[in-house]
Amino acid sequence: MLLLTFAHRPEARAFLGHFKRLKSHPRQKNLYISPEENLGLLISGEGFLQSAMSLTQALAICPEINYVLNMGVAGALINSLNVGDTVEGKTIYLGKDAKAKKMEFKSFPLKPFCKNLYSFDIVTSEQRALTQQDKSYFSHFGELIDREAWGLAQAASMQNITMSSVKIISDELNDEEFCQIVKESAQKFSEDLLAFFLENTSSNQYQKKVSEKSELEHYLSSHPRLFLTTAQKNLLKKYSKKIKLSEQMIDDIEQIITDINSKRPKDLSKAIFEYIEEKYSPVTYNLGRFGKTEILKLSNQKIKFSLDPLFETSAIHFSGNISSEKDLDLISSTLTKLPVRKWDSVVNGDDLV
Amino acid sequence: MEMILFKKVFIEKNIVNVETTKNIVSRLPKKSRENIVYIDSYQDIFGKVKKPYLQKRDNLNLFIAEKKGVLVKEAPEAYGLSGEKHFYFINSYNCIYECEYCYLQGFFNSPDIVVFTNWDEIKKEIKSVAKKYPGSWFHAGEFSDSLALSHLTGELGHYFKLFKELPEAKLELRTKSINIREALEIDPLNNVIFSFSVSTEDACKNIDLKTPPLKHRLKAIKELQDRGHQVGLHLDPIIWSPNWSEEHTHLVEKLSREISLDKVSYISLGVVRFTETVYHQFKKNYPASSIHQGELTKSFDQKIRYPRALRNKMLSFVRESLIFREVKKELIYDCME
Ligand code: SF4
Repeated sequence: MLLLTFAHRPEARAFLGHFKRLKSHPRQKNLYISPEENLGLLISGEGFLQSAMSLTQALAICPEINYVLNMGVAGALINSLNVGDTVEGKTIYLGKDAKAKKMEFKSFPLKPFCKNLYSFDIVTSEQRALTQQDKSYFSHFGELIDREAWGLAQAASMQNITMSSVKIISDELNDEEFCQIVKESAQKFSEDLLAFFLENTSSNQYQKKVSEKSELEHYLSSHPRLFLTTAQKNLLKKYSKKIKLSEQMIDDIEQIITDINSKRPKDLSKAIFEYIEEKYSPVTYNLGRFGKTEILKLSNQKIKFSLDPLFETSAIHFSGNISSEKDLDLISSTLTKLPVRKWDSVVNGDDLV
Repeated sequence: MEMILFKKVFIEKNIVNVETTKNIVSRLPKKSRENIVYIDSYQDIFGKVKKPYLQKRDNLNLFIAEKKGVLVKEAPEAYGLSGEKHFYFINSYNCIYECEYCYLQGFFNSPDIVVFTNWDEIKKEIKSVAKKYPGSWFHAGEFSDSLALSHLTGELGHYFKLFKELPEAKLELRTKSINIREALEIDPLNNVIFSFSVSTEDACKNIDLKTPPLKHRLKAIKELQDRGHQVGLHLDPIIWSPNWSEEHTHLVEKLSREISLDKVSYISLGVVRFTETVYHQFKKNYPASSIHQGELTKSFDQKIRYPRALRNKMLSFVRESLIFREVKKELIYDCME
């Protein structure tokens, strides 16, 4: 669901008039929802704390929201922007106190919304009234100034929700106060924003989140013979970033399923995961396999071997106990079987093809 | 030559009248000169907020500032040929290029370029360190590319003048730039080495974004060699690809064909590696990079790199290929391995 946010009601008025199915939510009166249109609207209030709290509450009440579009007015920090220009935000910074040159370190990059718009950085100011000198300091960080966007972006980012921001310039550089909606211009700004929105938003921009499963994830998680644990599903996400499902892989996987003795889905999944792991980290996988079959398997009740799990060194660690001469003989004969030279050259990459 | 259009140029008020500052300003493109802002200290702006790294593509600012604090730093071990002391001096921060693995993306909180113009102090410090540790190496370009902006800063002449007075010290200018016009006009010195990072053609094009293509880098190397300058090579980072061995064989062949490999002062080899912070940034900035195809894992020192077996294999393969092309074994060393 797309949530439109405005700092003040006058900025939202044209939207509330147009989207008649938007209904105020009983738990947050400034939140309007239209489930049929998959659309929400929030009057967040001014100030970054207020806007952050307001959006956090809206996201808790309405978990379907997956895209936040902040709309409203902004002041210009550069001369080339004029009242009435529609622009979009690129990155949002928080200006804490211009006189003391205090900025909040954290910033939030925004998702581009419309390729036809010029994009600029936004400074959300903690203070409303700024001198020209204050504005000049903030202009080192951005070209637009507002009162709410940083708080919204923080709330959205905490929930991993994408946000964009489209602004209409309400004040030019030389005006002392900014983002002041005067009655006469409010209606016009709101209508202009609505016209922009209707022209540039296709409904698919805010459809329900579709499953972002890769082909490999989809294939394995819906395979009737397999059962994936949560850990395996997470691993699969990681593997999918590098491994793409191919015809050859499907054939290999089906072959493994046919060849394996066990019919238990868990065993089958384990074998498939070994196969994928080999594709994902072939060097580490093969080192592990060599270590397992040639070294670790020599462990017995008197001596246990272990290897560097990262295979960064070829050192072979062991621990054991000797209570009799027989133990000593067993340990000595086991140690002589260790393929030390071979292991060293394997770890050094000498045998790698 | 790179003609960079900086969105804004910030100049610290106290160095406005310094000769170096004035020269830089006079060399800026007209459009950048129209956007000069005078400030008290670059630290009032640079790094105050987290400026997204990729804003370097269309929103790059230049700061002209005075470097305070440490001017010359000792380099970590395994920095260069072993047995000698290595130092780097700080003449600028950040780079106009965009190599996907660049560690600067996790280093500063802004991609903006900072150029320091208090040359006299930096030179004085280099002199004093060189006196204390004779035979030391000095490196420019630890936090930037040494040549990419040298046409703007005019620093090359200063380096040569200084190191002429310090014949025992060596200077390495590490670069991927082909900005060599000024260098060709300067008389070579045996203790000033232009060291070029070179990668396979494919990596130069698709990973070292915005850098000059391999062909042009090799041409620049050749011209410098012909002019009598010392040149070093960094085959670093070596990056895995499904055809890495063929591609590197091809690279070494190209090197031996197009430059005088026998005249190269040294060749360093290194395999791609990331600190955790840089890796995190790299994943965010370049999710589709071909570097992700390689088997990168967290290593013994928490750095992200290929498993030792693969690293060794790649390094020894490239080393052997160079030796096959008559490069002397003792001139090849592994960097940061
Ligand atoms: S040339 Fe060097 S400093 Fe510049 S982006 Fe590439 S790796 Fe980074």
